Parts: sequence; C-alpha cells; structure tokens
Amino acid sequence: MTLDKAQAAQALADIDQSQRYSSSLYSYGRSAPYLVIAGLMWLVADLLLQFSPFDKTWTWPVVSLIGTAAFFGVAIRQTRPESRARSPAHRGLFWRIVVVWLAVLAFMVATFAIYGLQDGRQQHSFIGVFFGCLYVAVGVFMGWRMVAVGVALAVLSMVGFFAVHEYYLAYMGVVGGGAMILSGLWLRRV
Amino acid sequence: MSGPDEIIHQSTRLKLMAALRGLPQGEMIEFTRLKAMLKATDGNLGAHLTALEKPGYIEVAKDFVGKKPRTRVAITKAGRTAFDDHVAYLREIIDG
Repeated sequence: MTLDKAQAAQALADIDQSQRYSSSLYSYGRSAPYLVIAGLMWLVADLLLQFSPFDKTWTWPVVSLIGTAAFFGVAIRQTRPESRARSPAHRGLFWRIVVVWLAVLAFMVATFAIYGLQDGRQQHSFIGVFFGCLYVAVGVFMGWRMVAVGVALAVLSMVGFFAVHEYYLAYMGVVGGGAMILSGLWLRRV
Repeated sequence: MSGPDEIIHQSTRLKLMAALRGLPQGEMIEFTRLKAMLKATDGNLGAHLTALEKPGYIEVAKDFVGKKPRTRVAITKAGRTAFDDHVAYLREIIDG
C-alpha cells in the first residue's frame, strides 16, 4: 500500500480531529461530577437562604463542608489505586486537586477581605462571575462546551446582580445552581 | 521511510486508534462511548476492535457494573508505538 500526499493529509486531519474529540470528552467526563456537586450546593444553599424560616447563619458553611467532602470523594474515586497504577497522569492528581481547591477558597476569602465584600449579593455574584471566567479559561484548553458553561454562568450572575431583587437568592440558586447541574449532565454526553 | 501500518490505516481503525491515543496513558474508554464517537454499529466496532486486538494494539476488558455488562478499551504500549510510527510515516509523506 502506498499513499499520496492528499491521502496522508486527510489521514492526519482525521487523526487530529479524533484525538482532540476524545481528549475533550475525557476531560468533560472528569469535570462533570464536580459541576453537578457545585450546582447542587448552590441550589440547596440559596433556596434555604431564601425560604427557610430557621437561622441561616450556618447554611453556607455547612453546605460548603458537605460539598467539599463530596468533591474529595469524587477526587479519591477518580484517582483510586487501580487508575494510578495504569496511568502515570493520575499519580499525585488527588493532591493537585486539593491544592487547586484550597487556592480557590483562599482567593475568595482574600478578595472578600481586601474589597470588603460583606453584602451577600456582591459575594454571590462575584463567585458566579469568578467561576464563569475560570470555566472559560479552562475551556479554551479543554473544549468549547466548558466555554459555553462559563459564559452562561458569568452572564446569569451579572443579570441576577443588576436585575433581580426580591427573589435574588432563589434566582441565583435555581438559575446559577441549575445551570451548573445541567451543564454537568451535558458534559457527560458524547 | 518505513511503510504504512495497514491494520491501523483503515479509516475507522485510524480514528479509533487516534481516539484511544488522545487519552492519558493507561486510561480506558467504554465501548458505548467509543461507538457514539465513531458513529459505528455494535458489529462494526466489534470487528475493528478484534482486528486491533489480534496484533496487541489494544486491550479489551469486560466486567460488570452491578448487573450491567461493561466493555472497556485501552491502547497498549505496542499500539502507541505502532500508531506513532504510522503518524510519523504520514508526516514524512507530507514533508516529501
């Protein structure tokens, strides 16, 4: 079998397309559970804050703790010994995820402290916009679906901040959290 | 210039190997996901997997998740080498 330049070019184009597609799908599949967990955290916490008649002081800290435990649970599952043994890429992955998560938390706390963002609306919208931009940045390398999720999240957060007043928390919970849950499910699709 | 790998070069198998090569080393992909990616039928994909398994280019693992059977596929070290050699051959043709 001999190939000419056109056939070789076509084969290389097919290879490039298939590799990029499978690589994106792999990353999507890995990211999806984290998006669903974050969306659930957001949805539950904000609906409780909006509608619960009970003391709301501990709502976000408790939801954050449960969510963080779930994040680490998924991370441990994704980096179980079987995976590490097969794939060098998974070695040390759990600790990298932990460090990234702690860095994000530290950034949030530092930003709130420096800018004095005490108002819940400001904090909520800032977190939404921050994660939206983060997803866009990650999506530039991972794939367009992540970019779409990021843009939706950032835009919905800004719309909430400027246009929604009485039911702001319910809006952020349903729209922001719901968008993340749907995005996570969408990322899992082929 | 080395020759083309005739097992790999067939259109569907080329895309299949490229998809597997795009994953981190040792990572497996489910049959159903692969089938959707390649827009292949069960029988068609099964035949191509058998063709690639024979020379040891891929490994196929079958197990159960609960009561559901699951088939996963991964590229082997020999498969990575053969695929990389084939890509190098294609690039040599382009470069003249």
